[in-house]
Amino acid sequence: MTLSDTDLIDRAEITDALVAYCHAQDQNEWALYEAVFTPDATVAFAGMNMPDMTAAALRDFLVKHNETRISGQHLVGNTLFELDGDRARVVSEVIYITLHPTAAAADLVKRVRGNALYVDAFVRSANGWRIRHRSIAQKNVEIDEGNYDPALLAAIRQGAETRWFQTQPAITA
Amino acid sequence: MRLTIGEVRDRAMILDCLNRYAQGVDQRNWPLYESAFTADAAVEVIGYLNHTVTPIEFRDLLCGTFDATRLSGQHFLGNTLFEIDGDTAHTVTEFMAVTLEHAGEPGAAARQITAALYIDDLTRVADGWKIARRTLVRKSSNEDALPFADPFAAAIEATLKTGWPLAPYTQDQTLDTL
Repeated sequence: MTLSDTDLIDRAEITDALVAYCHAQDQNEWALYEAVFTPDATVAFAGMNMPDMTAAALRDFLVKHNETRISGQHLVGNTLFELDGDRARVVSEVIYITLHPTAAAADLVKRVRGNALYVDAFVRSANGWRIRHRSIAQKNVEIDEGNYDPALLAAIRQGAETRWFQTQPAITA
Repeated sequence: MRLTIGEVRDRAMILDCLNRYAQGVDQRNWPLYESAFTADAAVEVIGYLNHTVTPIEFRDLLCGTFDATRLSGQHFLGNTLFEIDGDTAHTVTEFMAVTLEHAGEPGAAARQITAALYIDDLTRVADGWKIARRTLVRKSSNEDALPFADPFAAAIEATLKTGWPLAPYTQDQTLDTL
């Protein structure tokens, strides 16, 4: 069946929410996080040692967790959409890498690299498409350490501290 | 606020532009690369270049730095967030780049996996969008060594000689004619 203009707009708005989640946690753009979940949303974790929690609790967790991070990237792709009126089931792959300082030396960093799946139940709200429930399923994770050139580390920290979005928030909540 | 179908179309054309850059760099198709930029565009790389350069200067820098040992490269784009205002746009895009280079000894290759951001200011042109300013921000960059021996080495090196995409991009062409 051919996609309609409305289908394409719905997909674009759903993708905006998926991407806003990633930029919120990867660029510490927490205003974007407000454009992701419904107020009553919950998040479940599979393959990770984390309890189910509300989206608001996850935000607080991520804000604290990011204080231990140098940088992070959660790259989303392969998104499949199943739209049904004001509801949608959306499944996306994610590949991620995060960098963390170590106590051993300033130029020795911990690297966490992995692959996961986001399984999302979306609803159309008055503010647009929002996730009501997200399941995050870990597929694999690799943790190791490596030495970084201090000049590269300084550039990474400079980039992480810069605000890259023109408008605040970029997406209306 | 609800998106319009015109905004969805603009996003698709902006992604075309971002993909032309990535495919141009990765397949060393420089006309395709140049087609992603306005004539007076500026490129900066935080912590790598201490001033902006033109796309041509950046191309020459990439070739001069990497081409003697380069085997292959893939800049995989995603997570583009769009702020479109009439005929200008600001986008932030994640990419993961995997590049392979000769390691200086037979049978070995150096692999580099880089996570980074492109922050772009784009301008609407007659047939789409072009980048007027690009900032590249690295987030992590990890290197390791891979065994690189025949038959895989010869097969990968052969991909560099295929010349695809088949024709350079011109403003009259659409990507599916390449």
